[in-house]
Amino acid sequence: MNDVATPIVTRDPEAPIMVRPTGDLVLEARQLDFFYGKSQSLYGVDLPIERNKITALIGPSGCGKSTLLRTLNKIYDLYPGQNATGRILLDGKDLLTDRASVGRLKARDGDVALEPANLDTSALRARIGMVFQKPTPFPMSIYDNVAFGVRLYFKKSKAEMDQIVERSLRRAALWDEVKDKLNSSGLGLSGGQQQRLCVARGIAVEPEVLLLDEPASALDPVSTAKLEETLMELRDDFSIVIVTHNLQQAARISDYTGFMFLGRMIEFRPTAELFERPQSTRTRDYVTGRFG
Amino acid sequence: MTATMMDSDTAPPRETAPGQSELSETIFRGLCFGAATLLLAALAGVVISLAIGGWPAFKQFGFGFFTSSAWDPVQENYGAAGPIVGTIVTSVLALIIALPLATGVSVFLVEFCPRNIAKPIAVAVELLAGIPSIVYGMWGLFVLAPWFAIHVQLPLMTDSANLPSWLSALVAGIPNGANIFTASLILAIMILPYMSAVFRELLLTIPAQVREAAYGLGSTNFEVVSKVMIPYVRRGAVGVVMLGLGRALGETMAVTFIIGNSHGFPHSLFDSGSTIASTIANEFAEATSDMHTAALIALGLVLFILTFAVLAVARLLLASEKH
Amino acid sequence: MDRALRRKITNSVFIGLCGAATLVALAFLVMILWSLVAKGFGGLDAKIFTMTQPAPGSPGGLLNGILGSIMMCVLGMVLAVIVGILAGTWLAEYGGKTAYGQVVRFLNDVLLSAPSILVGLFVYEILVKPFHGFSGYAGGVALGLLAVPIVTRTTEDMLTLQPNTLREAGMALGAGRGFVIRSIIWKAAGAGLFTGGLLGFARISGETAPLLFTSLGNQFVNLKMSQPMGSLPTTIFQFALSAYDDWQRLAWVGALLIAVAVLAVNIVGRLVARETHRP
Repeated sequence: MNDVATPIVTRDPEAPIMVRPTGDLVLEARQLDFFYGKSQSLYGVDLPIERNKITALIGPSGCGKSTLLRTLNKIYDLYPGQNATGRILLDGKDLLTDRASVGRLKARDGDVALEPANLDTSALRARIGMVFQKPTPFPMSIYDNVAFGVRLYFKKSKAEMDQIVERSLRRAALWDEVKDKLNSSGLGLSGGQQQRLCVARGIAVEPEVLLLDEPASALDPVSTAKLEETLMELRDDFSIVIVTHNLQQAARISDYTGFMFLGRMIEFRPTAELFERPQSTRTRDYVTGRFG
Repeated sequence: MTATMMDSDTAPPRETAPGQSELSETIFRGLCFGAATLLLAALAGVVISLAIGGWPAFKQFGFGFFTSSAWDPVQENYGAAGPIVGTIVTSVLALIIALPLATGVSVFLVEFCPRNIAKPIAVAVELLAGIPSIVYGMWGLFVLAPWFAIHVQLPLMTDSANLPSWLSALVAGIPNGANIFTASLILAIMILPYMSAVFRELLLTIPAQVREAAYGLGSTNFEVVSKVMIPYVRRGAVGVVMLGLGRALGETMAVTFIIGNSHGFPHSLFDSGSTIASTIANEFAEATSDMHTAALIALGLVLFILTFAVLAVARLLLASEKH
Repeated sequence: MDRALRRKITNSVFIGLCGAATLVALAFLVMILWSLVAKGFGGLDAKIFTMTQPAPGSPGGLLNGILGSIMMCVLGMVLAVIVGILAGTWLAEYGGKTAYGQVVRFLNDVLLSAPSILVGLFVYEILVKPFHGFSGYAGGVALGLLAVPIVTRTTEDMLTLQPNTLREAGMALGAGRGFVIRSIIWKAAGAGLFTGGLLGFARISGETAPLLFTSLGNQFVNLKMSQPMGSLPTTIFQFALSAYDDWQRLAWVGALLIAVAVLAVNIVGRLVARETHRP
């Protein structure tokens, strides 16, 4: 344990080692606590997301990285008994205490699952997009899948919508593969294609931040590579937060990485630094494969 | 230049987002809730209307309604004992006949049948379950009853001198094949496919490891099935039995054709009788008076309570098995 | 005899008994289908579908019963599908886990297994007695009441099968709960919901008892649902118990028609179910 190659900084053991990004932050969580009913799963987490960068969240199972992700777009408050305290700033506006977020937000006890509060929160949610672990194409055509979100908010002419669909599919690196079969069902695509369809669907409404929860874990290596390539290109237009258990993936594609453990942010730094010179022993143990 | 979807400072224009409005959400939820409540109301309605409709009979005859086997429209004297006894006897008898058969079928399909014909056979048995009861009734009346009269009843009657007296008393009856026993037989054939289908599903929930462990110890099929598998799903098995019983209790058309429709207690296994359902089916449309109608509806309430109790227990047992 | 041999013999007997039971069950199926075909097929001719039921001794068919059955089954299914899908949706998506939801689910199961003749009595009390007349509407409502618990149950089961991420994905884009259900979840469960409808239809197309005191029967072809309507099952009931040979023959034809219809619906349902289980 006593590897003195890197000096261990003496500090409050609870405080994370954070190197805040220098650029403009599009989204920031401050001192976020999260509760499933009575049990707490996030403890005072800070997470700064720099604009047009890819931020990765890594950590062993159960560390809270997926919970943190789901807290960011407030999908949690569609389940009764889950809530968060702290601040989540989207362009300066606090999602948690904003007028639109309080009041009829909480799901009623006894609700089976989900219950959106009102249009403002829905709109907020559209500014933060989400792609899930398992590809979830809607049971409709590829075209309708991509157009779904847009149609919630806008009445577009056919020509305009065609343009939007094409642009989203191009950005998701799926256009060439599906341009001749836009009307066929989204369920007919391969796993990797379905996931890129979900990405296209998510970015069609042009969110400011795109959250991805282990998006490649259900995909084969070739599809994974394609997806990673796509994400790196999307960086120009979107800010991306990705949860992954694949350390190489995080090292490959992200600009910043946050390592979490037992519900706490342990270390948050530019990716290269975190992997090459981790300052916390825990981080070092994890990235060198000693546990997790 | 395409405008960005969302301005960072202002919420997007609230144009007609389909189904997005608070109002449409509330309306939809309300409709769904209303439908669910309608279901509740329908069932409540059934119970209430039976209770109200049958009340005059209960008031008039009191508890004696359940013990009297009189059924005299002329004297306006009604007693439910005959149909009640008939209902219970035929259902229990049907169960006794169907249970071993259903067990045999389901065990065979799960344990012994070669895989490739197991599915078609299972489907065939389920098709049997889908045949409407009136078809069973026709078959019972025109095929089973005559056959039974000729091949079972007549030989027993002509031979009655040689039979022990308890047996000849048991099988006394008009040899027309329309009696308690044949009705039970038809009922048994009706509930057999249903019970075997549910029981088969139950057996399929047993984890493979349990079966393999038992076989691994060198047990024979019989031992594995009787000592391990069936006890494993014991509670559900009782539930299946009660489900079968519940269905038999309420069955109308198949029984009406072949039970002989006489009021009063059946005197032997081969005597004609009646069930609650067959009595109502036969007499309701031409009930001679209000009290007659009320008596019939009161019978209906008794049947409902019987089936409700049996089915409630069955569901409980099956539900607790699913954990 | 030693133990091992005894066990072996017991086992063989057991297997034999189980096989015999299966043969018995199959034998019944064959016997019943055989009777239907033998006694009913011969009577099938164009008259069945073009003429109304005859007086004994005259030529005739089953047109009144066939039309009446179709009309009342359709009415029943329309009612059952509307109420059943909405109720099943409520159970699966909104209140299914509350105490009230448990009660609704339980009572739905009770209605599912309730003797159909009692449902007929209920509809008599609310739709026949107050209006002083039997009617096709009453018959259709009775049938609907019998089918609705099947549709409800199947809907709830099929909707619950849909993964939650599908709902989350829709709502992550900002869609409302009901909108997600209607535009995504219902579509995803589509085949299953259709099967529920088929199952309900299969059940009610053969029902006789509830029609006895709701639609009563009508020897003439009647398309007015406010009047008593004939139906195949009630016609069969009347004809089978009569003393006339030709009436009894017609009853067998009717029985064959119903059995064929029910079997066809069952088979279609299975095919649809199998199609959708292809990943």
